Amino acid sequence: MSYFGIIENLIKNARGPPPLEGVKVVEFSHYILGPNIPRLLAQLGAEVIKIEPPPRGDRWKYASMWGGKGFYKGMRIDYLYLNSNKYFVGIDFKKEEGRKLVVELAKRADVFVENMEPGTLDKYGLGYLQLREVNPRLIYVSASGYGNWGPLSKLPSYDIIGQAESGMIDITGWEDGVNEAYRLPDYPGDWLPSTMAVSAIIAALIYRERTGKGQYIDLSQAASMQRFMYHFTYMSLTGSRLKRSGFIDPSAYVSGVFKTADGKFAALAAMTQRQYDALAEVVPGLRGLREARDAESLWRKYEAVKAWASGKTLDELLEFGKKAGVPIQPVLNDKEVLDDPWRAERGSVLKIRDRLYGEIVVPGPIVKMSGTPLAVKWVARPVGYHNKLVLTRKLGLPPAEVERLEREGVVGYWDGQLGNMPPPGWSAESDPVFRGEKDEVEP
Amino acid sequence: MSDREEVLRKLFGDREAKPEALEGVKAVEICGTNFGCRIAGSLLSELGAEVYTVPDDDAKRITPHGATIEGVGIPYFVESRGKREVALEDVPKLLPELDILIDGLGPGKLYSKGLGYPQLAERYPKLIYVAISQFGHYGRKAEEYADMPDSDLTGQAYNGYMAMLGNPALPEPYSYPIRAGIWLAWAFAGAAGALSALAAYWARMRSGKGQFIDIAINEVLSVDHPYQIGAPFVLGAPRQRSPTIDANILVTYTTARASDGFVALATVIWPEVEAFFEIIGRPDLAERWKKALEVWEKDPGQLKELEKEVFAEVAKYKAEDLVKASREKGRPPIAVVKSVEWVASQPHWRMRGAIVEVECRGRKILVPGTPYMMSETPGRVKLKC
Repeated sequence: MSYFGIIENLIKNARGPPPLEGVKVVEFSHYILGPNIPRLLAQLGAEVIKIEPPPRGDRWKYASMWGGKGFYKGMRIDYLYLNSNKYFVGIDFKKEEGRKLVVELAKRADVFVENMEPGTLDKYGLGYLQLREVNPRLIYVSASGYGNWGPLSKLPSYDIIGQAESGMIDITGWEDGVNEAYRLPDYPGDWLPSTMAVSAIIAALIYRERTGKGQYIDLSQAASMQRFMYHFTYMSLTGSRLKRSGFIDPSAYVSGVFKTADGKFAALAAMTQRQYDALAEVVPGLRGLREARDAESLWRKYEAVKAWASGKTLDELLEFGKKAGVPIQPVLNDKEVLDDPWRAERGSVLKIRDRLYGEIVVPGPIVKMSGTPLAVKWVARPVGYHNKLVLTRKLGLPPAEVERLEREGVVGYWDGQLGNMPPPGWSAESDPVFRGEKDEVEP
Repeated sequence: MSDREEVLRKLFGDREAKPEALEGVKAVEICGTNFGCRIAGSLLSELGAEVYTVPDDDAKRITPHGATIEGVGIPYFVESRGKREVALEDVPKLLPELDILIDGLGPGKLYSKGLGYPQLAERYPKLIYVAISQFGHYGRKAEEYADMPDSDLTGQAYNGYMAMLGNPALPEPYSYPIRAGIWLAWAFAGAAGALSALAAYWARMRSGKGQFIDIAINEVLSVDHPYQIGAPFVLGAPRQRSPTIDANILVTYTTARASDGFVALATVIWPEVEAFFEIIGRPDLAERWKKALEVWEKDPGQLKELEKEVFAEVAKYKAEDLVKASREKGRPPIAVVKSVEWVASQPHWRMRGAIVEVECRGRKILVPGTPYMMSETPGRVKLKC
């Protein structure tokens, strides 16, 4: 069997519990930066309980998406993804009894994730300094724009504000010829830092296993973006800023986005001398320019490749890239990503049957693992949907006590606004999970 | 400074005297020119793992405009944090004590040298093997593109990311899709590499078993950051690039030109949109914007027209005045787009270790620090000149 076949067998026959099975997480967060951390932990098998204040909950689901077209059966598609594999509890933490319930959940948790404005949860007795008193093993994560302390910590933040304050917008786009500033689209200032946070959390779990000690992780989204800005180094080394370069990677020997003979866009980046030389074999005008790497030369080299690439179809370019060992790939649009057969084969675009939302297309797991496979088991639920399940089965409260908490408004449910409702046709009476009788994936 | 701030500063202080989370964890990276692989190793190093790297001359030459420090390129220098070099032929000597091997060479390359997962797993069943490559290590495309090296630019392209960045209304070639100013595809791949290696390590603490992990640079951005999948699923069509109005929420969540520079505007929910229109002295635009949104699919021109009006109004104000007005009003967040020079000079990032200074033969070189601000086991950049 070929190497590829052996690896395919390993991945396709992956069995075993997910890696973070048994790890308990409490989420007290909203929008993207906070919720993506527990989303990934849940994908890795952790039990995540998302606490939302009833009835509105996480405000991200009310931001109109695509002019109102972004809702899938009453809930926003990215909210459904961001909050997959989580349990939803609606608790009014401003009431003393509600606050105590959050503390009870934190006592049994391994990880607590929040992304409120720095200091907000301290006012309710739910900050790290308070929760470590009741659970010294707790790993508490605060995700914010600039961190919880330091001169800039009070600045407001969203992904784009973090991009502006980190310098990210300043390094993207064109320096000459175009006087425009571009944010990075689709909020990577949230998605990337939250992905990085997961490593810190698991490292903290590993450390706690040795020492018994929990800790506080203060994650800054701007600092997480800066982690990849080699521009600071370039500036201090050369005494001048690294200019914005549009589609050209200034670290490559030649690179860019090219329009092909069949009207498609292809990205090409010769990162090494060998790759450059292979290109110079076929592209007129490149030979002898390899070591000229200043901005002007990169542009001249781009123009030479542009003239050559414009006479080739995308398939011809890809064939050349495969044979010559030069990185070339198409610039795919959203629909091409969704419909890509390779992604379907790998399970990176998955069609799942959610118990509430029916057939839904979801992004597959972030990585493929041979021993402890990951899964997207269910998507988001309305505020308070798992109240009964969590409070009775996981916290051990008697059903009568849960009913009292409901009557007194300590725990509550969604209000039926668009973005905060069960799908059409759902009924409480016929839903054993909502009634606390079954767990999400119990037969 | 508030009491809370003072307590937190103390809590996160004395970084060098504190232990490291991954003390005792041993990893080797064999990356070639794949910086997604190098970033994964660096993140593990920042968290305290002992990381060995197999040096690569080609990787050392990958650098902006050929700039080098101590004979190596800037990305290689920055991503050498805390790593020791080991020759490829000496990697087998490390294997008996190795926890994690990160392979960035492409599918089958280490296998052909007897260092693939199938061979190593037989002798070292506890080994965690993280493969980071363009199309993964199995399946049709993995095989088809096995001999084509990866790059960040092609990763951004194949993830559907570049298609959303840039201004299609400009003349060619400025109208083409452009790249994020950082290696975004490699960054996502590196972050996925580190988190999956640690998840597998955590699982091994219980089961005693290692495993194989497959990461495809060309998909990881779009599965973690999922609009390329969610948008066409609900819209039935690809989104269009929109440099001025956010392509998802269709409001002024974007950059705009003020009279003296660029500002970032963050209107996400409707009260923020209304507050923003008040700040620029055009509350009348709120209702018109709402109506334009209602007919957005049938008549996108209405939003385009309003866009022009909005940006013409913003251009009348100084950037700092807009920021001040937003703070007084309490919403929406507005920030001046900061230059890298400004950012590098801010004490905030230095004191938090997000940007650190390395002494290099009498020169002070700034390098990106670590975002791992942890009270008991702070992340560390062990980078020497």
